[in-house]
Amino acid sequence: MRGVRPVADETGMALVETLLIAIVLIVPVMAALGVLSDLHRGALAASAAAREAGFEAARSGSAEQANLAVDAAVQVAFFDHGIDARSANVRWTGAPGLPRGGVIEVEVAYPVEVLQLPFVGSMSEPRVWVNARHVARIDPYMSRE
Amino acid sequence: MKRRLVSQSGQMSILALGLAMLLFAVAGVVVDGTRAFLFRRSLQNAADASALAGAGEVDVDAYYETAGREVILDPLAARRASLEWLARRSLPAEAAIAADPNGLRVRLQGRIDTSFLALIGMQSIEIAAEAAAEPVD
Repeated sequence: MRGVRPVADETGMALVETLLIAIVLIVPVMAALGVLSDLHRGALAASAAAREAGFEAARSGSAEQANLAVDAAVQVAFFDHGIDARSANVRWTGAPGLPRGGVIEVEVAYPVEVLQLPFVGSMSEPRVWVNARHVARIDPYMSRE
Repeated sequence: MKRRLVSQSGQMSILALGLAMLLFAVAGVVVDGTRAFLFRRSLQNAADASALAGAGEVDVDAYYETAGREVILDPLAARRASLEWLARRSLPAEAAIAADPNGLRVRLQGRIDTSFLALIGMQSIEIAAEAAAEPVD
């Protein structure tokens, strides 16, 4: 075929440029979006866990019952968000005997691994801790058996 | 017909850069959106707990006078309890509490600063949450 051929030197240039830009810019942005979604999920799970644990503890008749109720509420909340609750730190406080009208305070912290590599998965470090806190009131007229 | 040959070198870079900028903008919206969403969730949790705390302030005199037939709120005490519960959360939000004998309504309104949306002129986002509660027998 006669005529002028396209510039032969440019063959494959687009591929090289795309790969270069993808590695430098697009892959890090995609990775950052992945980490952000994990952080969001962790924060949502922690806030749901703190809220439910607070409500459940405020309805418990004793500290032992409240302990069980808090653990169960946290497990369910994290499970609902597709997260294993074992790595979450949960702390709740309330006046001894959980008096009617008293305060229940729940704090939930969950570590999110921010370093995730393709085909390798998440690394144990570094981590970002997401925290949630909820304060609930024990019903002043709650009946107890 | 002869076509002019122009070097196409660098064209993909421009295309890919445009795509990267688009992704960056999406990431920005995600960051600010997530922050707004989480803040709204905090406000809603606080409003719910505050409304429930206020709804526990039953008018005891009215209750005994009617031999337990009427369960109504003591609006002043309900408002006080509700505010006390909000103070425990110390959230950066303004509270509006409307209480009457039938129940109370808590509205929280706050504002968060944006990071990426500020680049297009949206410096902050206003967030509000509302909760209502009433005493039940």
